[in-house]
Amino acid sequence: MERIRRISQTFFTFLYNPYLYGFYLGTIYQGRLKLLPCPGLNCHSCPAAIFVCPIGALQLFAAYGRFYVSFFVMGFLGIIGAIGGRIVCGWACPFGFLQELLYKIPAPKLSIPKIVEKLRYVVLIMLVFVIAYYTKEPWFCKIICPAGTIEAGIPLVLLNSDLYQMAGILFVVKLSVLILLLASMLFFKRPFCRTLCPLGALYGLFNRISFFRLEVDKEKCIHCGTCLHVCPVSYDISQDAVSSGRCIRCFKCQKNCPEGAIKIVARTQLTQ
Amino acid sequence: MKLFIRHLPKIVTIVMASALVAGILMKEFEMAFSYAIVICLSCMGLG
Repeated sequence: MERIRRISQTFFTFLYNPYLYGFYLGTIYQGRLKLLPCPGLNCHSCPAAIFVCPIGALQLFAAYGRFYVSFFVMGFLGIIGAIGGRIVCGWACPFGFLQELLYKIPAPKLSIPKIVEKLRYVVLIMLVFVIAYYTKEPWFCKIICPAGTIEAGIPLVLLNSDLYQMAGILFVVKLSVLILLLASMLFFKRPFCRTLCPLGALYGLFNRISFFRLEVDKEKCIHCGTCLHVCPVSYDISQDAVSSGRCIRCFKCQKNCPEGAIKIVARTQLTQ
Repeated sequence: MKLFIRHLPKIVTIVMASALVAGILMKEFEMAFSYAIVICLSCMGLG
């Protein structure tokens, strides 16, 4: 299962970024595929990207849209969320993939307090909707988004001399945020997804009601802690509510549970 | 109320599908497209 997930993460990374010619040209893809949103966090200003970033689009509509929320983008993300909750985070997000790879580097491993993980909801509501609406600026992209810096900022500044001239204090701030986040990925499991990612926060809202869910058989569970140990986001499914917005639906716990207490269920109705 | 909660997954799916269709009918994708084909200076940390 884990091997299939790695193949899926690699596949989606290339699916979102197949226009490698853009790196040679030092510009971005401008074809009709950019009518479609990308399910994962992937900057559309990356020279290789062919889809529009959903978080960038949500901020655009919050600032300039007729209804402040994009029905198109919310509907697109909502359908994915209604089917699998945060399944995109676990299987189809390039930035989540990068974080899991960096965590494999030997370093002291630390944990993130649960309360800090609530910050992603603040980022979603405040930066993506409220502040974008009042300031008409995409502040999540401007100061936080590490995908934008790593996929678009660094390559385009290096490839395009006009853009290189424009790099100033804001670029240094964004680069510093990226370096801090990359460094934290050595010590914490998926720190960006758990604390700052507004897309993960949005998908997480659907975990409770999604068609595919995980269920724990409380009678079979022996509380051995295997699920917590293998979980890429340190989520203890045996203790916490199964509906938690933290689960990224990687299904590692289900695969590794020695008692077979965790099951993947597909239901159109809520039973608990 | 219990019935509503029980069928919430289906209701949410229908609402989201309706939102997507409404967005397509309002051609919201064109606004997203015009945004996505220009290099976003904010994304890069340049403006």
